[in-house]
Amino acid sequence: MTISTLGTVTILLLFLLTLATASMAALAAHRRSERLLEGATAGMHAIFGLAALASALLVYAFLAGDYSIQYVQHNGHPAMPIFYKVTAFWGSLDGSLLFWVLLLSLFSSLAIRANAKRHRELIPHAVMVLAIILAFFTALLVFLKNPFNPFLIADASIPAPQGKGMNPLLQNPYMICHPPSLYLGMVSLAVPYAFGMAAMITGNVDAQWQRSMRRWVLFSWLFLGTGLMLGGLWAYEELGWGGYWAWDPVENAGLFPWLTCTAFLHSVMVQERRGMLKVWNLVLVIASFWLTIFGTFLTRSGVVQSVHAFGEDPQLAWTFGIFMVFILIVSFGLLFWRLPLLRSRNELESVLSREFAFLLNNWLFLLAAFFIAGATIYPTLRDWTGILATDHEWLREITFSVGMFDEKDWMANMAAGRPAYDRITIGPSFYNKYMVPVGLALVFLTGVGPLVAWRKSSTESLVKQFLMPLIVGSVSAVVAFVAVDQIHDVSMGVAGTTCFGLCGFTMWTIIQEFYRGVSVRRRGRTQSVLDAFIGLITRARRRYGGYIVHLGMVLMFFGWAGNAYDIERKISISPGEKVSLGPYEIRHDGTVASEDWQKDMLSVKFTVLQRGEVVDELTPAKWWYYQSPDMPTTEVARHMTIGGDAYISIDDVDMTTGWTRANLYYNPLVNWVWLGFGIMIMGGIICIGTTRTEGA
Amino acid sequence: MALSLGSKIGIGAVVLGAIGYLVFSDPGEGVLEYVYAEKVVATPEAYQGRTIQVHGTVVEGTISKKKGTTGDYRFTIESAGERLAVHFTNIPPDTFQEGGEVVLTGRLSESGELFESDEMSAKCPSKYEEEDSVKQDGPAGISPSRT
Repeated sequence: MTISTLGTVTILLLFLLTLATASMAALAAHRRSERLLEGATAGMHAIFGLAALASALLVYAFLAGDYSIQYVQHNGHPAMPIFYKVTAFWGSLDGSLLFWVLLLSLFSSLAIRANAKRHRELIPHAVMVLAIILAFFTALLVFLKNPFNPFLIADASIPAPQGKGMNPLLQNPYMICHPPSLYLGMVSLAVPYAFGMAAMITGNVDAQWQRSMRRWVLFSWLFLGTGLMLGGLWAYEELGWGGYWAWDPVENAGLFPWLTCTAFLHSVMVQERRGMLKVWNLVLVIASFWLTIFGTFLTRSGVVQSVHAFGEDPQLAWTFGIFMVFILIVSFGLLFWRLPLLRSRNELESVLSREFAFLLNNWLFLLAAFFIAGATIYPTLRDWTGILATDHEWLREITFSVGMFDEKDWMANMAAGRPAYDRITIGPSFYNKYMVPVGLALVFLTGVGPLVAWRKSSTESLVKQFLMPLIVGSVSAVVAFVAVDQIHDVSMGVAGTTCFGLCGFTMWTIIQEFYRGVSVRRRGRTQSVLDAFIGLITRARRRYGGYIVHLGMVLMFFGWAGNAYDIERKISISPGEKVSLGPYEIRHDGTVASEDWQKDMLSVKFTVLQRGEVVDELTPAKWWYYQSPDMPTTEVARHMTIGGDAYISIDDVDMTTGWTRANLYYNPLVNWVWLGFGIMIMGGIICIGTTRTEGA
Repeated sequence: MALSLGSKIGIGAVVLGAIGYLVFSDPGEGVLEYVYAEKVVATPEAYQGRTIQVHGTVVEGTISKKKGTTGDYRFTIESAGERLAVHFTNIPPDTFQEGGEVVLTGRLSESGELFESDEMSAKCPSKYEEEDSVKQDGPAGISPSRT
């Protein structure tokens, strides 16, 4: 039997098994039958077994170079390093769906095992929900996107097929980690969703299940964040346009569930402490899961115009669309049905309370998530509306009155026999315009939230808590204002100044908390500051882990504030010439041509000078992979410092004269973004290790 | 004790204010019209004087680079059989090549015959290839980098 046949049979069995497991779990829940439940649980573990087998077969096909399988032929190449052969498994649409199924079945299996005792009553329903989600994705594999599809017999006349290989731009270590990290984050969100659904079906809607799910969400949050950041690093080092985030629909798809997860991680504390926001938390769990499906839909179906070229695939788009509507109806239907059980134990008492600060933070995160999701899909929605409005007068009137289309243009176009409207795209400056204020407000709340008391803060305590942070914040804003003016010779924008000020403010609130905690621990004990510090974190991991996450976030915003003062220069330069770039001078020192077994390389030597001293040598290059000689890749070089990066990418080189055309960038503070992110992840890991008995 | 009336009014005002701002503020440069090259060729006067995005395929054999300048490309893009000349003044992405699809941001010249652009996205290295290309170009073919 060929791998192709074996693989196809495996996913077919997998599909049948998901259906059987879902039915068995439903029956187990209905009859309260232990034996049926055991069967369903075993079915879930078996699903993972089969998914692992299918994945192993596909990986084997890549390693063995079985180019009779379309997917392998398209993404594999005999000369590819073994590492990339393995990762080519999830390198394209069909395989990535199989990878999705593999991860989801793994998480389902683990979650069921871990919660079997703790949440016995939820298990049958959770198994059912997870099996239905698995059935959906497996159905995609079986009916639309089988990665084991062989070439048709007619193709046998063509000489032995060769692999095409992975796009050279993707043969980069970041690209190995980035997609799986995002997938891990996205896929794992199905678990809290399934348990949330189970809680609503059974009516066990106390805080208990949410407390267990907090760690799952934290896990998803960590991996989503890591995936996003690795994608940013890859873009920064590989694409050569000097930036790392461009609000592309595909990038956004990973961002919005991350935002709702962040909101959930905060609001779940309010539920634990004060018995409030129960409905809200369920909404967030549903929204997070739904947004992962929505994101997958955006990136896989080609409905959105993106520079990431996805083939348009109406079949897949419809399938996802129906599934998304189904999730919404079922989830919110259940929520409405259970509303009476979800009443708050307490009410909001004051705007000067931590509950309210958290609520604001939640509104902002949710607003950001849906704003970004909305803006991402808007051009497509507008397009669909336009098609409908061409035939329906009433709809046309509505679109004119809400300003979606311009009546005069529409009529003029119709009269001239042209299409009635033009499509639009939404670019980075739109997102930045609206998201910068939201981001700044969030930095402010990061400082405020942890310092105001639950229920109600007294004026006295507010002064005590916020006096120093306010002073520090104001001083940082003024210092930044003056310093930037001197260094960069540009006047500081409002957003930049505010950002530096808010970073100072929030930073001080965090330092203050650590300082107080350490002082308390050292009181009456002989303990070094470091011991007290470590003791503090290990004793209240959740609280201080959270502060470390906040610290990382502040540092990231500090890095983003530097973004406002970046320099971009397009230059044309010959050997021996010098140009200035921010604090540096860049000298062209000739070109070098070389080659290895995979590619031809052409590098340009640039020397970086600061005040006449040589500080670094940079060799940006162009690489021509033998497998795709028409598409050279641009290899960026950068001089990294804590103050900023000098970043060079070359465009064109004349081999005989050494004349070079290049783009130079000076990106101030950019490395604080990566640093801050690392700290954030560290904080997240500290939080995830919390014992369940510990309070906030 | 619930929230005071004053607080409630305050919160309501801020929320309404924020929504109002979102609805009525000018979205700015971020929202661009996105047209295929053939439409620009057919009705250039409709697009003059503002920044737009134009989508087309780079015509084989038309890319010419001017040496000794800071980024200066001339090429022709095509869509639905109509051709539009482009003057591009920046470093193009790696995926820019003849026969490839590009989306250019810029303005139409006074004469309406040349598109002046300094921002390009060529089909980006995303991995989700068009399913059709698998069927069409068979095992030995090299797909025109739709990735």
